[in-house]
Amino acid sequence: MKAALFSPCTYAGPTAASGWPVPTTTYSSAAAQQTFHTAIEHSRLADRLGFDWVTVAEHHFTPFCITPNPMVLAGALTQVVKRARIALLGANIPILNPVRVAEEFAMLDVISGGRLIAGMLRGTPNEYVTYNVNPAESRERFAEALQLIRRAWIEPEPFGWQGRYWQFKSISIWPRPVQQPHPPIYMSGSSPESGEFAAKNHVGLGFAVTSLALASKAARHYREQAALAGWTPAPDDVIYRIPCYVAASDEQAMEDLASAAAAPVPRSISLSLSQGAESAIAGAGYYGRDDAQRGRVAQLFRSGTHERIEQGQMLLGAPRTVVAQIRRIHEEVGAGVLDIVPGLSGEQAIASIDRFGTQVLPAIREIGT
Amino acid sequence: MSRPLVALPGAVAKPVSDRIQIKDSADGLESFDLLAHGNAVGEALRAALARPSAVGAVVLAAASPPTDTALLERFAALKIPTLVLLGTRDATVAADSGRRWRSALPACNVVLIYDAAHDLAAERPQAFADIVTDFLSDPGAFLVNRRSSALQP
Repeated sequence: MKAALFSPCTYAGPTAASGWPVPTTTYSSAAAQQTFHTAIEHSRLADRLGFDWVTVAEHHFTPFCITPNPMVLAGALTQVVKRARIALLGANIPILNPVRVAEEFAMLDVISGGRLIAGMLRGTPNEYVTYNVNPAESRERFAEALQLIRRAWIEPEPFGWQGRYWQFKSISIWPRPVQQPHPPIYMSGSSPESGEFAAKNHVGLGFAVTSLALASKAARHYREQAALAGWTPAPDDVIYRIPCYVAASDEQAMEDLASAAAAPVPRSISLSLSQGAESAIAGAGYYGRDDAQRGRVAQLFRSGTHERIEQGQMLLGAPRTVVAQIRRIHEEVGAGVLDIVPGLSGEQAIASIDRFGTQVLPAIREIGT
Repeated sequence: MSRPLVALPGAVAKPVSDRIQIKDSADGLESFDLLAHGNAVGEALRAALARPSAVGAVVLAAASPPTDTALLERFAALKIPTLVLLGTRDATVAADSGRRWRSALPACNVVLIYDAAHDLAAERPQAFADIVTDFLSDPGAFLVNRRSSALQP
């Protein structure tokens, strides 16, 4: 298995209570600078420890993740991450200009010497409010944007695009990607629709905010659909993102987690819209035909630590324990890339990343080989 | 649009727009634009070569370049503004053939009609009509968006 370290770039200062978009009334530029400094240092450490990828994400108008354009952070990471691949998971392509996305991805692939992983996501529902895009058009916009980005990467001659959602008279992007025909593409999705789309379009699939049971069902569907489309996804085609905290012992891990949870954390990590807006997005068909699983996932995330470990929503414990937890994820989901979200913060986060790199990573290398 | 558009036989793709006046033949017309679909493109190029000064612009839809390279070279020398339209779901003529058009006619505009199979005008009528109208209204200015993008006055 491969391992990736995700830098969520959660703002390191106090913020307003709840809701989205989150007001900036308590904003501190020092805290924001600290946030990026931490992300860059974690990525540098992961690279040194032998992590295969470092990953960044896109969210808007929230301290939960202060990388509205992950390309910018990825650009900085190309200069400190010398060996690992840099994965953008991703660009929220339905709400962006696909030609600009193709250009920025290509730049990153060139600057990093061909180490880009091009994740393309629909994003969380609130992002459709961000740039005032109708969420009912999300899947159609995604499909068109993906095809346009691919075409922009591979087409040697200028071409125009008469799309449904985008129109361009003449496109010929410079620079071209280093990886040919183009960088690896991933999309996210636990819904049957996403799995079918990924299989049909021959792209990788990533799971986040899920559970072992849901992800294994979705991964099975993806593989079945890929077989119908005439190809077999490799282990690397499936990414599983999960929070992870590795301590010296299981007891220490539990204790650290408990004291961290007891400390006041006056920060909003909400991406939740008002109930009216949320209903409008659900009513627009945003979630796909297996909408009921949303409630189940939300329910699962409210359970206790042991349940969350059991459900594949958290890696926690001594290195040996965490290896066993990861082995189970591989067995049930078939994921070949584990994207870990650093648990806790400060020195504890760094110690955990270090333990993962030195004691977990060598042991999970042989999984799936 | 000042010139009528002559849609050659076989042009199953006909743009539907009240701004385009479509004719079946160039007979009796002093000047005109040409539209050809699929296998009729060779005929369009020959028609242009027969009356070069009468032809304002040429639209070639869902077609690969003819294998007759001499014909292509003679047509290219006329420097008649040309728009090549290709469907991204066309199983007969791959969207990749835009490259071959560009090497045969370096000045041509290639535009991909997203999510359209071979019969472009039937697949996405409005998209087809819009791009053809846009091109023919002023081929030299085609690359420049001349529509207002103001959401409200």
